[in-house]
Amino acid sequence: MLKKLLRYDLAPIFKYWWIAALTSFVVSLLGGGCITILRADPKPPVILTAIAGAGLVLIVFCNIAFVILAEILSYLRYYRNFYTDEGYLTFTLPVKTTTLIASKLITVSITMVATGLILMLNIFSMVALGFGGDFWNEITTILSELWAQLGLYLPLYAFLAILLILVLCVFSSLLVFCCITIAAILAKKAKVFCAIALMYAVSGVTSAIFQLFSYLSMFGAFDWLERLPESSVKPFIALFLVGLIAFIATLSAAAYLAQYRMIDRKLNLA
Amino acid sequence: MKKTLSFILCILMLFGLIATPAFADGKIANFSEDFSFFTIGSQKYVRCDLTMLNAEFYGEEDAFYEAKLAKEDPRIKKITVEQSMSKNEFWVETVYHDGSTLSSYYMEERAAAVYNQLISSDQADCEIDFAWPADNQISAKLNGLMSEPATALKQDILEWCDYFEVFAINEKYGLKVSKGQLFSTEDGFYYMDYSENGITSPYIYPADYKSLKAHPITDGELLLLLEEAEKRYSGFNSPFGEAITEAIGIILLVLFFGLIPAGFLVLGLILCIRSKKHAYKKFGAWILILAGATLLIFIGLTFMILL
Repeated sequence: MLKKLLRYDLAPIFKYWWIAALTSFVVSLLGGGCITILRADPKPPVILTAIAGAGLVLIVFCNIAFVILAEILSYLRYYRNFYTDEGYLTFTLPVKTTTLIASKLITVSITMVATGLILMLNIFSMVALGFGGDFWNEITTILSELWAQLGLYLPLYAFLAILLILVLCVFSSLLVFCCITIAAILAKKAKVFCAIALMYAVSGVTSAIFQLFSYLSMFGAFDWLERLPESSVKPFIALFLVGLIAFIATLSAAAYLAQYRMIDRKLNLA
Repeated sequence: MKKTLSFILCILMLFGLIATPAFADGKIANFSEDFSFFTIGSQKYVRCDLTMLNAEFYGEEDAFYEAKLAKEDPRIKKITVEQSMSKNEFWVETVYHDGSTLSSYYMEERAAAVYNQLISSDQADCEIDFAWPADNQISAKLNGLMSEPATALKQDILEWCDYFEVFAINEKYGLKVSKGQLFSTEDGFYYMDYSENGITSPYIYPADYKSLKAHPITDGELLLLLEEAEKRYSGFNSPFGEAITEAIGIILLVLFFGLIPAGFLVLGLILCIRSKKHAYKKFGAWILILAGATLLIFIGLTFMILL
């Protein structure tokens, strides 16, 4: 049943998403051309430089718009499916609530990951086209320097970083789901507005925590980390990343539980 | 109609903003045949070694000049002439066809004479720059800093960042010349002069500290000023004192990676034992496993640090 739900959830999002993705990709390729014009030596005519500069600004905006569109599409789908008139039909489907939430979560995660990949591809192709050989040389130098310093830890760190990004994707999606659900429970009207306000509050708190850690690290609160022996630093970082992944996965599981409980006990669509 | 006009206006403004630097007047630096100087209008700039000068180049569009040579040199591919922020200095980079590059510095003729005088002088008006916070500077006379004879600096400096640049200043020409560094050790403050220690670049690293010769600072008035500046500096480093800041860091880490997973562990356990619904039991098991794993990993990390 999950497969069917996923098909029904993904189809309406990707109906628009692929157009936006393709547009942003084509536009980014043009961006590579703009960078080439701006870097040309001798300088091309002023009007061409101005067009290339303006074009580059528009291309950056286009990519930002693509990310925002992808997020709106996926969260709107969740909101409409659960908390508008469609919700009556959704909750009459012969599936468990956990399956419904899982389907929405997988849909949002797939959309976010796909958007991230396309965005990376866009930036990569734009820079590769614009900077040509210099870019490849720079990438090769950075990678070889990293390999020389980290050795086999490099692929391990890369794998853990990807895993961390995926877990963060799931956690942030669940946070947005929770905000939308709380807004649907608490607000009689302007549910979307309430959900956005809640989301701002949540992101405010998380960024405050992050800033607190940065502030303290600036004052040397974590200086004792530097006392680690040289040989322990690499395994320590790997283990720390694993711990962070497990920590965020715990928070995600708790958010999933909260989401389930709110829908199960508190939500009244009547 | 109004919307279309506004849109066109916005686009034109955008083009204007981007095109303005491109329309800027061409500025030309006329180089002499032997490259020992160049002129811009009637102003002459001579080549000199600016290693000790605190000159800032930001690479902004309007800081660049076009190089015009007295005699064409087929080996040269390109010459970049960039003006410093204080306008007195120029950084000239020559790129040759064989791929090699040559960096040289030029300075306005009278400013160059003042710069050389500041380098050799031991009477200069100095500024001690504590770097952080940004406006944390005090003035001193160079001969005041060097009033005591220089001895080997045997003590360790307190922190890697506890050194302060000493600059000889000439406000008229906007010159800031590196003369030495001020160190803070457990015994007090010391001034280390670059020329006395044969240092030809203003960047030295902690590994070199113990082999340096430095002048202990004994002037009471100057010591008071230095201690005040040091307090302002340390104040930014640790508003509650180092021990408390470190304790806050540890408490936050324990709270974040210790107590929160422990709390979830308890929640998972309760759900597993008390819940009647299968779904909650399942959630409980997942939370229990993940929170347990997190706790174990962070306990392991703590042991790694302690051992």
